[in-house]
Amino acid sequence: MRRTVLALGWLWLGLFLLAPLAIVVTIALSAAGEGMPPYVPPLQWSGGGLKIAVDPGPFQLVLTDPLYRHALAISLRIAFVATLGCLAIGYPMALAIARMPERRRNLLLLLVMLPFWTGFLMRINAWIGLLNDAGWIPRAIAALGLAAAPPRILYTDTAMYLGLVYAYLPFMVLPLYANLSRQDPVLREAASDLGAGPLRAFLTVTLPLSLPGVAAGCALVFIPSVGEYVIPELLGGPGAETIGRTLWSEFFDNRDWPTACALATVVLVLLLGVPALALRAARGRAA
Amino acid sequence: MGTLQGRALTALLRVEGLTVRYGAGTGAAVSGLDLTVAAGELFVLLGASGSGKTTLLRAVAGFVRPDAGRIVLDGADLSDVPPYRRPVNTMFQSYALFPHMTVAQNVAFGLRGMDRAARAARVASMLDLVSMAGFAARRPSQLSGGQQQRVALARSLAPNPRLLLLDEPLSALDRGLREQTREEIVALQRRVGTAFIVVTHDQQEALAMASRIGVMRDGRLAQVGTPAEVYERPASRFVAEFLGAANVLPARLLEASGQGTVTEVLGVPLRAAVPAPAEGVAVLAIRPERVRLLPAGAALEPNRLAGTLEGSTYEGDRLIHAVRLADGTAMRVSAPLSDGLQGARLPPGTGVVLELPPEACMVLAE
Amino acid sequence: MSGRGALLGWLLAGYAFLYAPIAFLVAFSFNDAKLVTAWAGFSWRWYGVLFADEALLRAAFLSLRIAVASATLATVVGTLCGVALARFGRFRGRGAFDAAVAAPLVLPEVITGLSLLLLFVAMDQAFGWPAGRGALTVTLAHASVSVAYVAVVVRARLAGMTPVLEEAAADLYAPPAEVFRRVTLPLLAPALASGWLLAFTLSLDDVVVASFTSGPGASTLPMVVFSMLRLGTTPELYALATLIVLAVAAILLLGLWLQRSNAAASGGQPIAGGAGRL
Repeated sequence: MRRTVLALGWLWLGLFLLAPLAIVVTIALSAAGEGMPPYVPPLQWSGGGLKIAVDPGPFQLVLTDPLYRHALAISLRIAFVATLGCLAIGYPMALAIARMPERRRNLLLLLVMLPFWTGFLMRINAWIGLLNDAGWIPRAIAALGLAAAPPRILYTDTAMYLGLVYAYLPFMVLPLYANLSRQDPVLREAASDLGAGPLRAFLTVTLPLSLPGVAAGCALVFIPSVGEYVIPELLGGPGAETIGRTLWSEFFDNRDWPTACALATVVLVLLLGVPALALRAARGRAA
Repeated sequence: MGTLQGRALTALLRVEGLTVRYGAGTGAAVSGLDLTVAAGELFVLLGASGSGKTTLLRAVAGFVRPDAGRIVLDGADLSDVPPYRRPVNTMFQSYALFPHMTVAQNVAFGLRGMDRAARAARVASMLDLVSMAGFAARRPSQLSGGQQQRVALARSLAPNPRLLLLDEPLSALDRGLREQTREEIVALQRRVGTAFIVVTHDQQEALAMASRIGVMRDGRLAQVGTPAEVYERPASRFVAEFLGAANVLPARLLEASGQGTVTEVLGVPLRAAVPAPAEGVAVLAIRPERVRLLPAGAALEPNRLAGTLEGSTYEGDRLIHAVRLADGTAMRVSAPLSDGLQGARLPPGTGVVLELPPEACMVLAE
Repeated sequence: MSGRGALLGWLLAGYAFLYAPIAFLVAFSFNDAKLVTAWAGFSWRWYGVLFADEALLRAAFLSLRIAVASATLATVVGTLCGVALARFGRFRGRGAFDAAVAAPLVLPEVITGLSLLLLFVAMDQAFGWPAGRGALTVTLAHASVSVAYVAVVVRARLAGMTPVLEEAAADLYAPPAEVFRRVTLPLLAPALASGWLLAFTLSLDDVVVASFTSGPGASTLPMVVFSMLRLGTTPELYALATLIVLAVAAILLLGLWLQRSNAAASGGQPIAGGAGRL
């Protein structure tokens, strides 16, 4: 029974996770070619012998061409700003919910999650309507006298950040709430008892104890934001050439599979490998 | 007693007419309670769970707002003072040590407005006081329960509060450690001289630690007095039964004077060396260890009742005899072992005579 | 206290931020104009346009089929993985298994989509199955992503559930498969339901993975909507969004009602309290 379950699990993961990633790395090491699929496999049987044709070109291109480095830098910057925005808005929300009477909390949390169920594209759609040049928000800004004319927001970084924060806010609030609601309220009482006012109690007790929740929330927002394709494409300007858009256009528009795969591999290593190593190093030091 | 009354003149804490309700429509957790605690006292609030003792403590600490009444410390009304401005510290039942801080950082938390050196010196001396000097750099999770308890004590004492509140300070400890820690807390309190209010549900703990005990019931104080007073002269049947085992017998008042009381129990006159309570007498109570077990042949004088031994339970240092009186009332007699006939095992069914010495009899309102 | 008030105000502002766009969608789906920038009177016309748009309706129907199939598949596989992680104790390769199950949670969508497409191309070349790209490949791709979510939900539920019940069943002579079928599975039911629903929603919501793994003639609803949005917005999509909001609200109310009647049936205890009562 145990063996069967584990074998099935590994079979599934091997087929739909490990094999695809192995194929990506393999193609990243191939030369581009004509036909379908448009690359030359690095290992081939030809005339009874194994022919090895590893092409380091795609990796060299991705690692040296300023275009890709630029895309990577933009993606990291966008993800960073979006994460910060979600944290700034989400932390007080999570804190407010965690401090509510227990019987209300589930409903309040449900209200945070609910927009997520109404469809991602639909909500982006609303923002397109609200933010376009003749839309309600630019007109309101002009009407309030904050700008001489309705400012251009749609297809700029502002709209993109707004969309990202809007889409990922629940993913920040959830882990933060989970952490904050689990904190023992007696610890805050103890701080207060020992002379700490509300602000100091927050800074010395609640905040430091919530850092694992902050880390989890930031990871849940940052990681998908780096690879985000749809929001920069629909709300951002043409300058927001993120990794997601670059990879998409290499693959679909340029039909350059090896470069797309090399780019994917580099992003994977950066996004997953580097934090994993850092975590291991940090743990090693702590032990 | 004389010294206590002398101390009561320098009242440190006065609770006047305190009422606390949790939410509208629910009964009061504390209702109209008055209490005075003197400087330097170790006052124990004893009560079952739900009796309101923790609520009273939290109101003094400032964590719950009173619905009525005042809390006055050193002559100043604390009612509108938030917990972080009250010169009162709490040692929490769960200790509430900050898990992300070291032992030294925990102890230093309440020390503000001190320079670095003074703070470090204070932390060191507090840790020394609780014999935790070598643990300053540890995290709470690296300490045993007993060690955490000491750190919590040091932390709450470090700001030198006027009054220290201890919420069930021993409940999280193993049985073996509890007695030793109890003595340490008492010794520490004598040394620092700070007034302590200790909340507990354990009457042994209360009797052993307290300079005075307040017995709580239904949000009110049922009795306040020294351990000997509440144990030997309980004000009510409730207090008598709450503070240890008691045999309670129905009694009829025959004669009452300043020197004593004579009641009739099961047709036998019983003299008690205490005045009768103001209200009508209902019961006579006596502690199992004060009842004397005599052989069946003993003369049936006043203060003696005949009965049949139903069985004996061995408890190591004593035997507990279950005796059935003629009318069916069950009595418990505790006899220390190594006491001749008293301690000897008798076969069940043996006839016995119980002697209830006048000085051990308590006459109580039902 | 003013700190509390400020916190509450912030929370309300947060909800306003989350719900204002949705309210805007619903309101302007009834607007009698091509633009959504000014109110021009009430009208059902965009609902008419929506129900006459055959391409959109076909895509919606396809998406529903894919979502049901992929959610069901993901629930089966995800449950197996979650049970293994929560109940099998230490086994060889556990760390790797754990990481592999959770990996899709942190993989960027573009990379998931790209890698799965390359897999399907390679499989097609090597075995001739699945032939070409279409509904089947999108279903498999969505299932492979959703397995991670279902496994997380199932594992969390099992971790909060004492193994004593399973041990009691084993003690009463139930072999492992029967323990799973008669004890574990019924207790897991709420987790399975929420896992399935999560997988269903993820599938209905996905643009990127579907765009990579789909083929000609098999455009899902989000793919069609995405290509429309690239050109701007149209009130027809507002009408669609309003219907989705209504459906979500209906499902939510049904869920709450079911939970309440369940709670009443089990003596006032919610299902989740079952294990806690031991």
